[in-house]
Amino acid sequence: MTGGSMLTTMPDQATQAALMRDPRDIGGPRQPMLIAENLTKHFTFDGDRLGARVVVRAVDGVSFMVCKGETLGIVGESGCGKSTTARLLVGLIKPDTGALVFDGEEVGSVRGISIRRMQRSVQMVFQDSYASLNPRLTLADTVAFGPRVSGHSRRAARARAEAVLALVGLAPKLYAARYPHELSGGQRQRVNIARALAMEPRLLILDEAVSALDKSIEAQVLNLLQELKARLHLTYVFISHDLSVVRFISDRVMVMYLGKTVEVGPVEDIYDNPRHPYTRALLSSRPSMNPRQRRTEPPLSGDPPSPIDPPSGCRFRTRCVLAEPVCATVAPPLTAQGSAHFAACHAATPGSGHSAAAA
Amino acid sequence: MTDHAVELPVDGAPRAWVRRPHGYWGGVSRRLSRDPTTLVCALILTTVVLAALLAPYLDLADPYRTSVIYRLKPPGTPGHLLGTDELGRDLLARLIYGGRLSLLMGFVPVLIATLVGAVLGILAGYFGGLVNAAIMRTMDVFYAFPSILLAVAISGVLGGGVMNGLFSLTLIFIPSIARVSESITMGVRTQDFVDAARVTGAYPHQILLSHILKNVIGQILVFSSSLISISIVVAAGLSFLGLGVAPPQAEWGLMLSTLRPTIYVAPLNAILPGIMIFITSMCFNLMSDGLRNAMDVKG
Amino acid sequence: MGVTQMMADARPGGISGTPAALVEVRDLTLRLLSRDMDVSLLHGVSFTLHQGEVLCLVGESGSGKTVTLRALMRLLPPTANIGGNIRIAGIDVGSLTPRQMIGIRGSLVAMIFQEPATALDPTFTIGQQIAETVRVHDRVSHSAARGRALELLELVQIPSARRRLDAYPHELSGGMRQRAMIALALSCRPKLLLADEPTTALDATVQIQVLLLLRRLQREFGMAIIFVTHDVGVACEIADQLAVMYAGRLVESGPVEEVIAAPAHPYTAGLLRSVVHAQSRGTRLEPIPGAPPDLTALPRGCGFAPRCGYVRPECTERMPELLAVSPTRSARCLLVTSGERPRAPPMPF
Repeated sequence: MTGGSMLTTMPDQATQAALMRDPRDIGGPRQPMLIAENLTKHFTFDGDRLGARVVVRAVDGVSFMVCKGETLGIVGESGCGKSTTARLLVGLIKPDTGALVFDGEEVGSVRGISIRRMQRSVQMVFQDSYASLNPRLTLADTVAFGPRVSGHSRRAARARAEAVLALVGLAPKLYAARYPHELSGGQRQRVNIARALAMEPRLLILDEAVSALDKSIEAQVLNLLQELKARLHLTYVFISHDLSVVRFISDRVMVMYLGKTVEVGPVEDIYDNPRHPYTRALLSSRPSMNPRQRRTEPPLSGDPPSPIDPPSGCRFRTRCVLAEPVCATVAPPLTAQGSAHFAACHAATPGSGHSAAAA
Repeated sequence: MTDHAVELPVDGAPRAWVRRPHGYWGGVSRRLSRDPTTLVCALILTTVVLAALLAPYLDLADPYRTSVIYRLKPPGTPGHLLGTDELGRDLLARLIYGGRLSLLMGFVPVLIATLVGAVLGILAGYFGGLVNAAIMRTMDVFYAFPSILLAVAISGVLGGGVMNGLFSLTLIFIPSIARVSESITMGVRTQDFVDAARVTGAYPHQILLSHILKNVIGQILVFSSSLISISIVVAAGLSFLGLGVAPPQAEWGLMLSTLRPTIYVAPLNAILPGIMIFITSMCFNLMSDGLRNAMDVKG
Repeated sequence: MGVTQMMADARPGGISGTPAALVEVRDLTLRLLSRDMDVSLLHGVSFTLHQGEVLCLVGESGSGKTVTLRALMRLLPPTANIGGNIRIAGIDVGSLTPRQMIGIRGSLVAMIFQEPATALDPTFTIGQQIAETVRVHDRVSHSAARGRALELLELVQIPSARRRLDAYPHELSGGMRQRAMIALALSCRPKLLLADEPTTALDATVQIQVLLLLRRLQREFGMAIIFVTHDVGVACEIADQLAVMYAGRLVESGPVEEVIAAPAHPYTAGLLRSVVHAQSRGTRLEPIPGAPPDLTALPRGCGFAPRCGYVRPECTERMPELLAVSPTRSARCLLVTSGERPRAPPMPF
């Protein structure tokens, strides 16, 4: 299983020191903050005809781990399952099969911790939208809600809310009594972050946290996220479709396609030496910032297929230039490409039977 | 910790920060107060309601005192501003006293039905699944009957009188309020801020009270307020059929019924209760429209 | 005079035949007036576009780029008061009656939108919609129109085009719908295509396909395109001319390579610097401080001054004029007069 053989990097000195002091830390610096094992989530809907059912295989057997103090980036296009994965990680959705292990303890099992317990330490920052903040609550009330339901008194929750608003750069005197409609997109996103931080989490899942923002504001919020991570010794899972942003903020990156992991590894390996054809295509789809070096051919043709009826074997084979018969019959496993770099492609797997693979 | 707010660049002060922050309802009442239709209707309704409430203290004739001589006098007769009815009773007094019952039978059923129906609908909308099926299918059974027929049937079984009338009216409004509440709640429930609240590990009752309620109550109230006018009319209808208020009590619907035979003889008198029903229910209707418009703006 | 007659006479340069711009916008102002608000969205926007050119309007929220586009097609709500002059192929768009306006929409000017789901009618197949547009403008038979529709679907590289003619919009994926919308827009061979962030909602691998498709079609048809986007990278891929907008004004314009390589306006430089790219890793990004201004309360003088790193006292007194940086470039900044340039990131990224 990739879980065990994947890297367990030691966090840096500062993070290790912080972990030693954190009374909530159980597993120690080597224990991954989060292990996702074989997560699967299918959604069933009624089909067009009587009795027909449509199964959307949103997440299909995804495994990965997040080490303490790192930022794991998850990239993919629509239908890849990254949003569903995000919701699985915070307990908003229960997986059909698979397990989550938080700091060494299994979530949702009798021996381990409950989902509610895990939610004390794992929080989510949502994409900015008009629906991400309750329009009828003041910012202070929105941010204080979490501490309130965790058992703090009204006064303590309010104090915590104001402290964390100040932490994200929104002066409580000016902002605590405001309503979301009075804020700009960047400010709303800061409130989203504050709301998550009010619960004093150790792991933050950021689901397209900067995608809806103007570029200049996006840069501000990214700086803020980096600051907060260092200051509060957080671990991040950063989900986005924007490859440049993911490269900036992540230590390791996981690429998803149609509910499966196709490649995972350290960020520079992924970006400089992608081993999966989809990753390569995704990277070369970015518009170049140089008008003199324009692309002439699109790296991929066609649209991403829907997760309703994914292709057999390797799900990417319908758009892959390297596709061969073996790709239709056997689903490629994640195989090592380097010290911590894994890719699920027959062409990169020795002995798979693919003509481009080593024997 | 204090240097953080200075270090991290804040992208601008909030818009219009010089004004005091006002909530959503502040904005709603501001917009309501600028809408001429709403203001006029509010004025009319206030007059009617005040008159009804203060009836005993106003210098009115006895609404129950009959007189054989002064039957069906037209409006403008000295001593009887709006004339008299078929038993010689002063119409102005009867209209104002009648307003008390009519407004009561308009308001109270809707109020109780809102309390019951909103709770049922919100629970059904929030939890979905079996809870939703149990509640909404039960509502569907009642919904299948045309409301007036249902009211008539229930009143017929229970007998007439004000209390039974209130009961049957309440019952007929619960299903539609529940349905509207359910659909509004389902719309709110899918929004990200509800998910965010769930991620904090909050229990459903905490989420419902702190987050959901404030977002649905406004729209539910708009719908309910539009039912008041219907309730007044149906109550009048029940009385007209003899199933609601019993004589000699004054109630607009009952007055319509008893004055009906005299419509060719004293038409002006006969339509007066109808005009009151019309004005009151129209005003409630228009105000509910105004409320909906005022609530329509984002913030 | 009928629109067809105007169109027949309409060539850039008008009847006399002197080469002139296809699109001439002079001092375009836009005010939204209603009971609840009074806000100016555009304050005197001027630009020209020649046949076969691609102009990218780049800006963030509130810059006015989208409403500029809509003003060209007069697709604005009734509360909008438009001032200034818009000429497309010599026709004064502001003076057209609504009927004449309908006549030029589609045939002279066409528009594609960000959300094809809202631009395509869900109750008709895409074949029907394209064929209907063709018939309205060209008066051909049903089968000929359907044949044109098929040609267009193949032109925009929709696979299995014949089968897709009878598909409803909801049966197509996002990229397909976008291509269908492009086909619809091109059905009457417009001279000018207005594109309102058409690739923003698309996945990366689809976005690049649609951008390249647009470029190819633009060359084949000799169309002019005005492309609105907030993504500078997209502008680099597709634009000949770049125009940067801020707070309802044009702040810089010029050929795209020159503007990207050496921006003359501090906002453009700041925008380029805030783009996240490979070299940023491990460093702190350099965002533009502050936020786009509230359009109801614009500061006196230059709209960008509160956020500008090069601000001088004169900047807050008067709005600078659009000054020529070179024969082909202009910028609305006092830096131009002193010959300075704001610091920009090195090229290429």
